[in-house]
Amino acid sequence: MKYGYRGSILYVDLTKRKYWTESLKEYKHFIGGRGINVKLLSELTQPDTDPLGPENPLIFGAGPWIGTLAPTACRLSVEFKSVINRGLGSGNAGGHFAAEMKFCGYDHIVVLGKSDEKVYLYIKDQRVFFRDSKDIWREDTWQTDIKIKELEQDKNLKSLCIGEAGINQVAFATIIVDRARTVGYGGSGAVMGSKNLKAIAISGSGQVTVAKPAEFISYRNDFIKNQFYPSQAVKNHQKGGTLLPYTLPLSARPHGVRNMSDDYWDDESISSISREVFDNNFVIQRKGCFDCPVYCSSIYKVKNLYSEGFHANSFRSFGSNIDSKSSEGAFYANALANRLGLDSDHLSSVIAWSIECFEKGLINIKDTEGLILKWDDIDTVVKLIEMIAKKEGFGSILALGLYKAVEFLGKGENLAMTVKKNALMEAATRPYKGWALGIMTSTKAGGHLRGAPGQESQKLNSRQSMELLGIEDYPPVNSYDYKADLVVFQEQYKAVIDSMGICVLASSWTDVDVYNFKHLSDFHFLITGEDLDVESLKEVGEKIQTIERMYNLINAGFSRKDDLPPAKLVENQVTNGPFKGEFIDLEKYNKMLDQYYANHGWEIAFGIPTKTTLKKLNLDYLIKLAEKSGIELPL
Amino acid sequence: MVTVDNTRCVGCRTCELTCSFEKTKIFSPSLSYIRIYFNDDGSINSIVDKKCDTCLACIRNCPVGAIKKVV
Repeated sequence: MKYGYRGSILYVDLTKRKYWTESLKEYKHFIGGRGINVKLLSELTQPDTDPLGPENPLIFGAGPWIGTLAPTACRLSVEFKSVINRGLGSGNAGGHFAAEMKFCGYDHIVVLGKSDEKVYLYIKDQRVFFRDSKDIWREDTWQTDIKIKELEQDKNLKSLCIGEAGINQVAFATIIVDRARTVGYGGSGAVMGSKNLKAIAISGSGQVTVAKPAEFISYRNDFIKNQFYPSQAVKNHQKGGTLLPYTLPLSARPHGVRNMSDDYWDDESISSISREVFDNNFVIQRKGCFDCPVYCSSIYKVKNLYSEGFHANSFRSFGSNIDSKSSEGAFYANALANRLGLDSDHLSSVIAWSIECFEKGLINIKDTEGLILKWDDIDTVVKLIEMIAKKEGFGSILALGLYKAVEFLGKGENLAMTVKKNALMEAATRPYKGWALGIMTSTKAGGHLRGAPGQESQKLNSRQSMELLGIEDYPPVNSYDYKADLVVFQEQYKAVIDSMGICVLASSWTDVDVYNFKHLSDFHFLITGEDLDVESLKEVGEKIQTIERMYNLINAGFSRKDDLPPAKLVENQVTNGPFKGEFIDLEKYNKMLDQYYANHGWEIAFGIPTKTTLKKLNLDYLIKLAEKSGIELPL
Repeated sequence: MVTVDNTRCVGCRTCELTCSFEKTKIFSPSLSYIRIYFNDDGSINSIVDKKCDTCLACIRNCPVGAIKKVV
């Protein structure tokens, strides 16, 4: 593993204040990044592992392409046992941290145990320093990075940390990378807080080499010139991040509105939080992640807060899903969530649910301790964000996470947008049938960053359709046909790119001709010298997907019943616009689900991987793990 | 020598990778003659080492045209 990889996993035991490295070699069949992370996680945790106990590992992965000039190779994969549902906790962040891991000499970092004192880690090449973090414990995520740079007198270091929400172990607290980039889903920030670990700072002087330097540069330059830069999806994201292409079609595309009650938002409302307003009044500078020519992000200042981002998800979180039309309010709420270290998807979902419950009289001011909740009231939402992070008043109930807040209050179950006990905060789940299937079956419990096929809403020509699905006429978004195939394709594809370390935003997910499987195979060979053809890559993707599916079965008991959409998507139709009348037809959805399981070789009635499938994928160890937990797998 | 327009730069550090690769055929920002830093307010700072031999590889690869040759 001389090329691309650095060949080492760094283990840090916070309890014993020890660290050591181990070879990566035995794990290379899972490529790196997310793939190796989930393999490690499946070995290091048990069903009775407490997500907030010292035995839950925090695993960071930087794939083999990171540190090279392969465009967008910068993504940090983070895996752990989820605080939300005891299944897979999984997030993926951009920024510069993953590259710095590689320059330090590590492909993966596994943080074990719990420190008896509040600490941060400073990793300087081969050494790990356990630093007292009492003085910076309550700093927000932006300031923490600045303070650590001062303390270490190292302006090259890159950091990840937790804010107020993480130190208070809010269920959906998230780790923040490079001051403002989130590791969403599963409560990574709460896990870090439970370890008394404020931050990890890293600074490396080493190098990454590639197997075929001259050929790599030549291939990379051709790829950038011929595939990458000409792509309209890349151009749109260069022009205005994800916010511009998401809002540009106005109501011609579906949105996520008022706690996902509708997929229609009117043009005037959409225009109220526009890229133009953002650029003209708040953006200081456009920002790219390490080695990324798309630079979709922005540094911005709102009121007294600096932050980064404001993407399509932010628009939905602090705009349409709470029916708020205040641009400044949305930018401020997003900055605040980043600085407190909160996952904005879950945050928006739990707040929107509480507003809907209040509006429908299911909860009242006795439950909210005097707060009046209503749509289009960003000031109250901002108050709630702070209360959640600090676990104050009604905020302490919402800080439990949506599923547990419903249990605690014993109200509003039918209004809660959850799947696998995690909160949903999505658009298009009624009209885009493959998108819905990908979100409901996601191994990270919801979210569109697993099998949800961005390919579904691309306008594909017959050549592209033939390559992707083997048919000439590409099915429309609201068709249930071929969607199981698209989802399984995307699951395998996403598992592979997350393992190599590139970004989904400038990939086949947004343009089927960018980073297709052939490109992945070629790049991987030139970088690592490992010859994995397209079919081999798909098999690795399938293995990763299957480990995650089994992890959720063994640790959280998830099966077919947990792949179904929440009631509102079935019962409420889209009220207006081009998707008016769309909803999820459960009978058709279930047929799509049957096909999805069949494609994977899983038993259809319960959606459980069979022994035959696991053996075929050389994942026999999962059969033993299941048996150890008293789970009988189908033959 | 080259100079960086810090207001145009997006901080992707492609120039650092390009520079080290051009000189050594390995990727290592610590060997690069050009370095990009992030200020406390998120704005960008850059330092170009006097050893820069104006090979212009960074200029060719900057995605936003933020680097220029200075005579």
